[in-house]
Amino acid sequence: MFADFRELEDGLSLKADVCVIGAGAAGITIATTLAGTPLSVCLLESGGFVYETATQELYGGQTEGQPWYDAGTRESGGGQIVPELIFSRVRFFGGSTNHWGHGCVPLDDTDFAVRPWVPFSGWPIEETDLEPHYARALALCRAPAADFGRPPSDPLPVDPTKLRYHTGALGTANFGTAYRTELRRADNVKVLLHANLLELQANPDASAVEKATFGTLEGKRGTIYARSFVLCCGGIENARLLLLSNSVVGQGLGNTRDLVGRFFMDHPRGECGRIYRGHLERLAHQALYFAPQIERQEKTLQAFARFVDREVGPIPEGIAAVRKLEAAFAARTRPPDFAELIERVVLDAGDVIRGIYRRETGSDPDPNNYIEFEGQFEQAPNPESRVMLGNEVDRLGQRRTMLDWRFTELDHHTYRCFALTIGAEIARLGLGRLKLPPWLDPNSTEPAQLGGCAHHMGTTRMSDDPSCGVVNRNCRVHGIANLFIGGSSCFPTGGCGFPTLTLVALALRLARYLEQDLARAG
Amino acid sequence: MTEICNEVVSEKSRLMTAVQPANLRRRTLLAFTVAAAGFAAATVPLSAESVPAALRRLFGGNAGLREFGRIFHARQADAAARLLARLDGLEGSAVRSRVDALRKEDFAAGRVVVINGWVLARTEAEACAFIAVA
Repeated sequence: MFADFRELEDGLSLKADVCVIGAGAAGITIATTLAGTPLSVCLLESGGFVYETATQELYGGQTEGQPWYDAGTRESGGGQIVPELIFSRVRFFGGSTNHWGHGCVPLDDTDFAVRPWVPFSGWPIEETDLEPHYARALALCRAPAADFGRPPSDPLPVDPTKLRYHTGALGTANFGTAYRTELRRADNVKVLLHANLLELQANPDASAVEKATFGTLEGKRGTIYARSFVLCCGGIENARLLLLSNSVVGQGLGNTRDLVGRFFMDHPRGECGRIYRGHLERLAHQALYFAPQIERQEKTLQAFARFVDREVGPIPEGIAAVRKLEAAFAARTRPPDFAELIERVVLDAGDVIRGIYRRETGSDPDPNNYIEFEGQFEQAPNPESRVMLGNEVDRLGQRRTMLDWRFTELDHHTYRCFALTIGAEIARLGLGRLKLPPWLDPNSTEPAQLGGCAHHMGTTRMSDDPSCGVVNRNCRVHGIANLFIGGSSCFPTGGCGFPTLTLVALALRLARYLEQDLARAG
Repeated sequence: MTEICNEVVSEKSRLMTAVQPANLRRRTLLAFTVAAAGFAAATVPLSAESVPAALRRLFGGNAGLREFGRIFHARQADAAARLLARLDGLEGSAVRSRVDALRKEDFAAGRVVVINGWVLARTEAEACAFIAVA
């Protein structure tokens, strides 16, 4: 069932077996998995069913560190694009699945293993621990079962020791609409909208969470008591909310070792070069990953490349007409504006002849016609890359986020190594020649001109060792018996692909653990 | 050796002395120079005549290639000499074939250099260095 806290009484007090905070991919996965079980579940969500500016604005904060962070952007009054944390996630029922790229790729055994050249790498669980949950996770994301190693139908003959294909699947689910009816019908699940977590309040020795307080933007306050609490608010908010839960432990819950918020990672992404000449049409829309062999050999992180067809500047009318005619003829149809198209070709004969000459001979490099090589990278776990509390305060009176996103030399080494590998392979295959941007020159000291993907990870990283991680292998916060974290903030490393499928698989595993754990406890 | 050194500039003379090619004759050198100028042609499936010219244009024409060469020569003064040593005893089309094979081997082995942003095979950069100092 659903309820809107704005329509309920101030001072509301609730009880549940499991309190899940945050109705995004992880929170909804846990709530739907527990639906129909003997456990009572309360799912708190900050927003409603639609986007609301005032609620979204709660994500606002400051950024520093990597200057190109694309946590979300807005145009300033001067036409300049500036980073804005506000827009890096979506804050209403369904969370960021209300606006996601739909990419579903599992992590593989490389991700889970310790890589000696990657500091802080290695998960305390193995691929086999998540593998049973990936199939269900795909179904929840409404993605088809996929053979993720399958190359495309017309693969490039790349050297498999350097590059590989790793196909993804497209998940079509918007969790906020896909599972709304199921949750509405679940007798044991209560979804409370417009309920913003204010604090997780621990018992005096901070060994367990006693209750959570929450409120509306309009000033109503409520309390929920639960046997277990699960924080599922995303890679930035999970850390922030733990840091804000400081009435018992000054440095925040789960933060006795000063690890909460550290190791913030995203997937650095951006243009890594332009490819001219050769068989650009063979490259366009291919996606190639670094092969594990070369990652080991060159001691790099993971990376993948997309090749995006670019055409800069206005397309001459005659050439546009030729393209329409070619498309129509290929489809064995006659375009309705056939006469007009022919007229445009004739009137723009100069451009058309030049274009045909270029295409047929390849002899006149067109600086406006190239393939953009876009790289997307794994980020090295780095304790100095972190989420902190800023000095600004939001409408709920809570300190806003201060995000300091930082790369390491290993990150830069990976960018350069991957770019040179791509450049060598496409030249070897006669597919084109790569020109790097200045920041990727091996002698450059410019900062990487890469943005993020709003894939926030690592801030409550998983480790069996409390001195190395915030949560254990079951996503339970070290030292706190009943506090769990759902989502990609638990990832010790994040690969270079999309995190949603893995965070859903991890949430499914956590839901099963909670069900068994609470059943054991009686 | 004496025959060649009499005809090239002093820089080249130094390079040739450095590698001591036993059988490098004048026509070998000429064939190599032609091949070096069109080094990037082989894997682009276009006509042999047009592709080198096209790539030269992409890299900024002959002046661009010489600039690449000057930059690489400044980084590695023995670049051209290294290439000449590997071409020792070859002449005519064999030089061109060898240069092409070497650049393919470079790309396969990841032996690349970056000059003005372009990712070049080391052999290509060496050939540019040769052109620049010739």
